[in-house]
Parts: sequence; structure tokens; C-alpha cells
Amino acid sequence: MKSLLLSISIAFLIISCSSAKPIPVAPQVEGTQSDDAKPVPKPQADVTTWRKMPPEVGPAPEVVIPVFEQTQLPNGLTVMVVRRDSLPLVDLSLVLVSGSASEEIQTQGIADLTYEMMLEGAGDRDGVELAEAFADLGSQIGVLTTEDGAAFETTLLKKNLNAGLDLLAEIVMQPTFKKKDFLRKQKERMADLQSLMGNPKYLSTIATPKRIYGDSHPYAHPVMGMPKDVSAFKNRQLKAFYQTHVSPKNAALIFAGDITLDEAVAASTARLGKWKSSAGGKKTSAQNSNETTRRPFSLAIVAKPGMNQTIISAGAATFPAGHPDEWALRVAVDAFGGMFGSRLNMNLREEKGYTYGARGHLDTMFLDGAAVISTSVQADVTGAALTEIIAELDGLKTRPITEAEFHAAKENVLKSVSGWFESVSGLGHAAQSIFERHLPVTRYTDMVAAYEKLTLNDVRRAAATYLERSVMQVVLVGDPSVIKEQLAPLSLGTPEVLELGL
Amino acid sequence: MNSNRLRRWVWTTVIIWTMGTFGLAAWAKDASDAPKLNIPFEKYKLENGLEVIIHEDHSLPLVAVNVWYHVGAVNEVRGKTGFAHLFEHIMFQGSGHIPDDGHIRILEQIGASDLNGSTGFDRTNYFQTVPANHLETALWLESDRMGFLLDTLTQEKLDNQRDVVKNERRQTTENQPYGLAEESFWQRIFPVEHPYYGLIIGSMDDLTNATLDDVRNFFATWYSPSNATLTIAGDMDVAEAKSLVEKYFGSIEGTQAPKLAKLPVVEIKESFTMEYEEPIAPLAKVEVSWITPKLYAKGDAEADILGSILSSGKSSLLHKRLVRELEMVQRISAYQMSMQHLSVFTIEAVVREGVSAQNVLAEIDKVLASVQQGQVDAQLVTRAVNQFETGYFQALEKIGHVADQLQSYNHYVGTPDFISADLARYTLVTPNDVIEFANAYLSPKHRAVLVAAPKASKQTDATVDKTSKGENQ
Repeated sequence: MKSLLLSISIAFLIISCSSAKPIPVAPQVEGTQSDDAKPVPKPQADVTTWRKMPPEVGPAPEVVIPVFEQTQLPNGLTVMVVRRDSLPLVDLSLVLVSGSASEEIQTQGIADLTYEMMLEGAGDRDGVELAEAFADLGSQIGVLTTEDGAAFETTLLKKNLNAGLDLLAEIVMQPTFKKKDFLRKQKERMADLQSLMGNPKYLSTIATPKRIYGDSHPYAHPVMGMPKDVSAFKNRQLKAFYQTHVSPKNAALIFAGDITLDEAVAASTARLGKWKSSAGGKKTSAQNSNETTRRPFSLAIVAKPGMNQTIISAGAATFPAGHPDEWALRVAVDAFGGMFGSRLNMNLREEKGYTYGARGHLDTMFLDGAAVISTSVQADVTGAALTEIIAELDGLKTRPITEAEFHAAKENVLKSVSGWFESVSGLGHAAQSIFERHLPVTRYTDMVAAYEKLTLNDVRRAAATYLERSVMQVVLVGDPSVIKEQLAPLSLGTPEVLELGL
Repeated sequence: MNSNRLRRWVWTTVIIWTMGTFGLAAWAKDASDAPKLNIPFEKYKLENGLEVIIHEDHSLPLVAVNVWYHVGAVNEVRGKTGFAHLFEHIMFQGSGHIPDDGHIRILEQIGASDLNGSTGFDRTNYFQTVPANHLETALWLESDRMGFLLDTLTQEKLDNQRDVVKNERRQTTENQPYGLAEESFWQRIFPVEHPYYGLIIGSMDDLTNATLDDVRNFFATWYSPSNATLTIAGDMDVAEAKSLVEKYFGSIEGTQAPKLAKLPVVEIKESFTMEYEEPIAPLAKVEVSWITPKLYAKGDAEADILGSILSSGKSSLLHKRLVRELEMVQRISAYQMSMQHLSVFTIEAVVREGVSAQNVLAEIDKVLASVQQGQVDAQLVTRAVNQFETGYFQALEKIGHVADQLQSYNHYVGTPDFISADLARYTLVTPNDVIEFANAYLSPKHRAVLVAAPKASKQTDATVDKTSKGENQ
């Protein structure tokens, strides 16, 4: 079963895993050592001398990035292939570019429920029979909805690929949307939401984008919707969402693994070539504008009485995916909070011991990204921790990112990127995020090229532009009776108590 | 750790991570029919007793360096719960030749991934995957903390990491839905004399009381080369790797770790129900637990298969009945938590509003009784087995997982050469095995029941029997 949290995360997909037909991108050499394997020194009497210095190492291996290929069928369906033939596996996904950001204001949360309903019955099978059919292929099917899109995904042995594709085609083209299934699924979703709304981490996860983007922004509401909206849904509204958004022009079929583009096109044409959208494939995905409005500093509390920690988040909108500042800001955010050795974590965890960890990350999204910091701190140091976070933000001006920090954050990505694609599902997820965010298939080779050109000044400028305290939206989830008195001396203004409502 | 109970196959033990995890999990996916599984390796020992396992794989320019110390919460003594894990944190605070904040910093800037440490009931591991040219850097760092940790130990480091771990406890137990309830429940099942009692994270009081001498003694007793295994997996020149291992680890002296004292018996002599007032979650949760055979013992694989049949996917028995047909629970899962000395099998369900926990328990019992009476379709077992098979297959995609799997087999069964035998444990399970397991171990007379309900919940109106109150205050 899919974890509920999958539906709510706004995090950039983390890619993992392995070995395919990688292409070399750009050789890089580290240090000045010769590139022959060095003779191994013999153990020496004066042990401490050689232990004191990091070993001299050989040249860095070439960066390897997989090739993402893409084409389109006559009906508008995109077909993407990332080839890896070391194992007879294919990660198969059907991706749609309509996610929660494509919802009407009255039906927020309907995208994910619609997609889940497509797994509750299609063709002659009900939901259990669909699950059993995938299980018989040694697999499972699930759907992950984000703000920008949704992906139905399954990993199959190559010999089962066509059978899996038959089932996926049924789900996409012939979902039944039976009323009794809808009523049951709606109740399930209401129970899920009731459970989640009591989870402090979830409260932080849904309150933060609401503040960062402002209530009227398509990213402001949670992917799973709010109980009051979900309880009012009608089955016909789900069918309407399906008819508007699930069409070949809005979709990509992604194959990651042991398959060629020709094989993928043939298999897709046979099963989804006749797929026509009833509504002409209306593409309602909002257009990104390259202009993001950043809101002035604000401070809000979400009350969860009784907690002995406070979840602090602070974030600001940045820019749409593919923006020219993207990689410079990513390096800045990594140096500031993305790495274990970042300023934020070293301060709040390793120096003060306020928290188990403090992190920052850059969300790459189609309409507007966000730079977000988050940490859970002991409740009685909420004020002190917030003071440190603000001081670190201000510190980006007085103590700009150093050459060493820049180098560490940049090299961390360049040296590890070869390992991002170890598994077929990792490859599939990378392809999904490219399609959902309307990015070029050269996304990762472009990234490596851009990283190699980055300068310290680019990174400092990005930090100064986007990580300003004056645009941060701070949300505290915790016990107001403990938090409020600690905020008073900080002169950050009166915190707004945020009612998320049910 | 509570949130990660729905484990994937790789993690056969409950573990606590040093750095926390920030990634997204993927849903379980499968593809079976794996070719015969095999991880070629070489194993040898240095003169100081350090075991070394080497697995060569040149498919990507990466190498995984992974050290297991054969010590875990199981080696803690009463009054020192949580210490094995607190100690693990100290291992990242620098050592004789590595600056206090150097270990992770150095690894991050050379592009290390899968970089962390974890403490389990029965072992502690430290791992990183680095670009192939940095094998020596990783060996330098790992050997320094194995040999010279105490050289730079200070009260300040201990105090700082004590605060960090206390916050880890607040984050992962105290402010986690059902976290405290599950800890109390665990501590009703395990006697206080048993080292699993502290549930790895330990108590606030014991963490407060940990001293520098405790750190020194623990290191001297358990962190000897002779109590550790180093695995290197990936893209390397084997002869060069061996010579580097000798250079960095060969000179570290050590002592023999003591044998583990006999553990107290854990049994649920008489069934009981514990009630707990849940402070965080808005819905009640019901858990039923039994003591079951330890990791890799006969019955352990059967328990995993049964867990899958009961709760993996829409067509599983408990999910289909309680979530879809009766609409009584928000979610339900059944799983075996396998440990070196015994295991615990648990069925847990989050109860929907207006439904009584008692009724949920009764329905769980009916499904379980049908299994015990023999209603296990062969197809259900086949599907479950296929999922495990696929899991083994897919987990070999990552070199860091391969290294850790070799370590796991070496630790628990004494040889890294076990993956095909391990998979066979599952492929050989028959419906009858599952039925026999359910009858032998999941008895209504020897089980523990937890009902964690929020205050003033409508859900406890038809309360369960109150023969025993919870230990919460």
C-alpha cells in the first residue's frame, strides 16, 4: 500500500539508484595527482603523521548521466524512454500534467481522489481484481499526485510488460467510477484526512505552502484537499475532472529499464494509440509566468497543544522550474541548510543541541518553486531557535557564502550525481518530474553543465535575492501557551494564529 | 521509528538513524522471477580480528564502505537504555586525526551518498557510498574513529549529542502519533531486565545520566576491531583495496568483546489489554502483538508471508475486510518485527470515528481465525512470495544495499553467503506452513492488546476489558 505521505509531499523527487548505458558527460579531474594508481604506502612507524592528512586520491571518475529519449504518438501521447538493460526490469508509468494546481477552487483535492478512483474499477475489473491482476504479475500499481501532475506507476519484469500495459490502458481509458465505490472511497479519504489533521508534521506541511504562496495561489491548498471540501464531492465531479484532464495530449507513458524507444513506441501504439480524449484534450495546466510574487515577512502559529517540540518552518517563493537562477540558488540553499554540514544544521544541532536536525531545501515546481527551511525544536527554545534562524538568514549578507562552502555544496552534487540513478524506479521518477514540470529531456546534462560554470558570485547573488529574511513566511506548529511568550521579546510582530479548519 | 514499521524487506531490524531521513519512500513495487541470486564476495580477517568482506562491482564508479559493530541495544544494561544509540552519535563528532565537525563535512564535499549510521537492537552500522577514487578517504575516516575516537572526546561533545538525541526522542516518539503509547505497550511486553526494553532510543532519565566514563567503557568494550566487520563493495582494484585496509585498520589494537549474558525469557503468559490515553493522534489505534520466532528461525519467513497475505494491498485479507467491506478502520497492517533473539508479530489498525475498538478487535480475530482454520488460498501465498522475490531483486540495484546485506547475513547467520538460501526461505513456504505458524504462535491466550484512544474519544464507548491499566502517567 502506498504511504499517505506520498500524496502530500511537495518535495522535489529524490532520485536514487544503478547501472545502465550511461553516457559520459564531462570528465573532471580532482586535485593535481597523477592519474595512475598510486603505489600503496607501507604502514609507517610514525602513524600519526600520515593519519593527520586526508589521503591523496586519484582523478575523479567521469560523470555519468542516463539518456532520456522522447517522442509523440499521433494522438498526442508522449512516450519517454530511459534505457537500462542490465536487469530484465521495466519501471512503467503513465504521467499526467494535471495535479492539484489544476483544480477549480470549489473542488480542491479532487485530482488525487479522481486518480485513486481510477484504480477502484476499470473495464470489467473492480478495485480488488485490478490489484490482484497486478499481483499476479508480481507487481503493484499506485498513483502519486503532486501539485503539478500525477503518476500511475508499476515496476514489471520485462516479460510481463505487455500484460501490465494492458491493465494500465484499461485504467486510463475505461475507469468505471461506480457510485458505490466512490462513496466508499470518499469515506476512506475522510478518515485519512481526519488522521492526518492530528499529525503535527502534516499540519506544518500544509500550512507552509499556504503562507508562502498566499491563499489564492494554485499551490496554497493541500494535494489531498481539506475535509470540508472532500466531504462535498460528488461522483459526477470526479468524472468531469477525469474527462477534462485525462487525455493523451496531457499524458506521457514512461518506460525506464530494459526497453528501446522503438519497442516502447510499438507497445504504446498497440494499446494506447486509439486513446482519444472526449473533451479534445483540454490542457488546463496553468502557465508559468516567470514572475513570482514574494510576500512580506509573516509569522503564524498553528496550535497543537501539549507538544513538547515546535515544528518551525520558514520559506519563500522563488521561481518556476528551469529558471536561470535555479542552480545557483540550489547551491546557496545546500550551503545554508541542505547539507548536514550546512550553517543551519551545524548551528541548531551540532552547536546548540536544539534539534535532531535542521534542513533547508529548494522545491522545484512548475509554477513557482520555494526555498524552505524546517526543523523540530524543543518547545522551550522555540524563541531562541527562531532567533538563530533569522540571524543565519541575515548572516548571508554579513558573512556571505565562502569559497569553501561554495566548493563543498557544488562538488557534493557533481561528485554524487552518477549515483542518483541506480534503480529503474529512480530513472522513472526522474523522467516523471521532467514531464510534470515541462522541463527538457536534457535536464540532468544541462544541470551538470550549469554547475560546472557556476561561480561564487552567482551563488552569493542568489542567496541575497531569494533567502532574504524580509520575504520569509514563518510557521510554528506547537503549543501556543509555550510558544507565544517566547516570541514577544523577538520583535517580529504579533503572530497570527492560523486556523487551518477542517 | 514508529512510522517506519511497515518495513521493506531490507531492514529486518528496527533501527534509528543518526541524521534522520529526509527522502520520500516509494510504494512497494515488484517484479519477480529473479535469476538465481548471488553476491560474490571474499571474506578474510586481519591479525587484530577485524573481519573484511569485499564485493567487486564495476557497473558504476562508486564504492560503498560499510562497518558493522556487533553491538546494539542488546548490550545495554539496566539504567543505561539508549546508550548504544547515543554512542553512535558520538562516532560522528571527530576523532584523533579528524576535526570535530570533519567527518560528515569531508564526506559531503567528496560527493558521498547513503551517508549515515544506525543503531538496532542487535548491531550498529556506519556507512557511505563514495566516488570510486575516494575509497581511501572513506577508509581513513572509518579507521580513525575505530582507532582514535577517545583522543578527542570531551564533555561538551557528549552534552551536545545528548541534547540532539533527546530531541530525536521528542521528534520520533513523543510527538509522533501513538509514539508514547507504543513505547509503553512494548515495555509491558518486555521485562525491564531485558535489553530490548528500552526500545533503542532509551529513556530521558537514562540519557541524562550517561557519563563520559560510560562512553570510554563502551568504546573499550565493544568497539574493538575484533568486534567489527568492514565491507567494501563496488568499483575498486581488490589488491589495492586490501592493502589500504591493512594500512588503515591493521595497526589498530583491540580487545576481545565479552560474550552476551543469557537474556531473560520474554513471554506473554496471559493475554492482557492495555489502555493508553493518546496525546497526539485524533483517532484510536488498536494493536495486537505476539512473541514469535527470531530472525531466520523456522517460522520467521512464514510470519512475513502471513503479514503480506493479511495486509499488503487492496486484496489482502484484513484490508479487504476491515477497510473496504466493513469500513471500520482507516488503515491496518500486519508485520513481523524480526530480531536476533526473538521477534514480535503485530496487527495494528487505526479505528475510524464512531467505531468501537472492541468491534475492530473482534473482526481482526475472525479473519485470523479463518487463517488458523485453514482458509489460506495457495494463490495468496504465491503472490506474497512473488513480492518478496521481487524485493530481493530490486534491492540489489544499489551498491550500498548490497554492502549492508552482506553485513547483515554475516552478522546474523555467520556468513555473507546466504542470499539464495534467504530467498528460498520464502519460496518454499506453503499455505500449510502459514496455517501452522498462525496456530502455533498467534494464540488468543498469549497475546498483548493495546488500545490507544484520545481523551474523550467516542471510540472507547464500548471499552475493552479493563483487567489491566496502562502504565502511563
